[in-house]
Amino acid sequence: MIKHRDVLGFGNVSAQQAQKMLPQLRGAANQLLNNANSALTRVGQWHGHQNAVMYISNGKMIVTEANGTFITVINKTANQWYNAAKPLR
Amino acid sequence: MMINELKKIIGKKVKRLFLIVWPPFGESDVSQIDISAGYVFEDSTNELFKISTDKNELTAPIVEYLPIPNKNFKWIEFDRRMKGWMDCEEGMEMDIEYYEVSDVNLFKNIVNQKVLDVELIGITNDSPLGVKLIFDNDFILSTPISDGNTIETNLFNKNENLENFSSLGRIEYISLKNVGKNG
Repeated sequence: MIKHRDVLGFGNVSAQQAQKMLPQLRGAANQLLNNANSALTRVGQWHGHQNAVMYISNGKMIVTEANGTFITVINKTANQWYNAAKPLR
Repeated sequence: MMINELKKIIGKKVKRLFLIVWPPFGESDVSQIDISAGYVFEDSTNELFKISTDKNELTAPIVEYLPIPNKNFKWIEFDRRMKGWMDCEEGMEMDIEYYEVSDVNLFKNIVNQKVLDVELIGITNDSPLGVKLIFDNDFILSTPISDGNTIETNLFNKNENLENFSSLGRIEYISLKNVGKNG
């Protein structure tokens, strides 16, 4: 999550500072998940993860494992994995 | 733009080689350590040419010119530090870590060798995913992982990461050596 601090809105803090801000980073990620557009959520392969869930929220894509474990967050709303994934019904 | 930059390195000799690592804090799988390669070429020893994955997309390569790092770790520290990060060891300062591997035996067929070709790797009819630098007796393959980039060579980190992409379609290698040449 520290690596993605800029996408999560903490681009002004260093990696070392962000080490002490994990609760805030988690909070920002959770906020993205809570605001995700469910019509755009997809499930499918994300690199080595077979059943990843890809949420679209506020112009970003946040990716988790099926059990909710954070994988990544990116500043795009589509890529080759998302295009190949299936809508979550 | 990226293709032009990659074409320019064909025929250049690698003078120094760095591994550029984002600390794998809490990561359980060594194949998911975010590693990119940084090259210092003989004709431009004041800049580091980094080939990695675009973190905004995680399915596309990116190239960057960086300053030569002031601070870098020795290769002998690599395994210990990676284990420390993966085990969430306390007291380690998180930042991008540079490991100079110019004198490391594992990379002897890359350092002081010329780049013979650069291949773009991707799924048929889609944008490139990764980049492969070809040397006489070795290669460096740079491809995306779930949260970054990985590299593989003949002797280092052979995780067959490209196999993850086979579900997307047929994987193609496009040589840049002759791209743009007439006839």
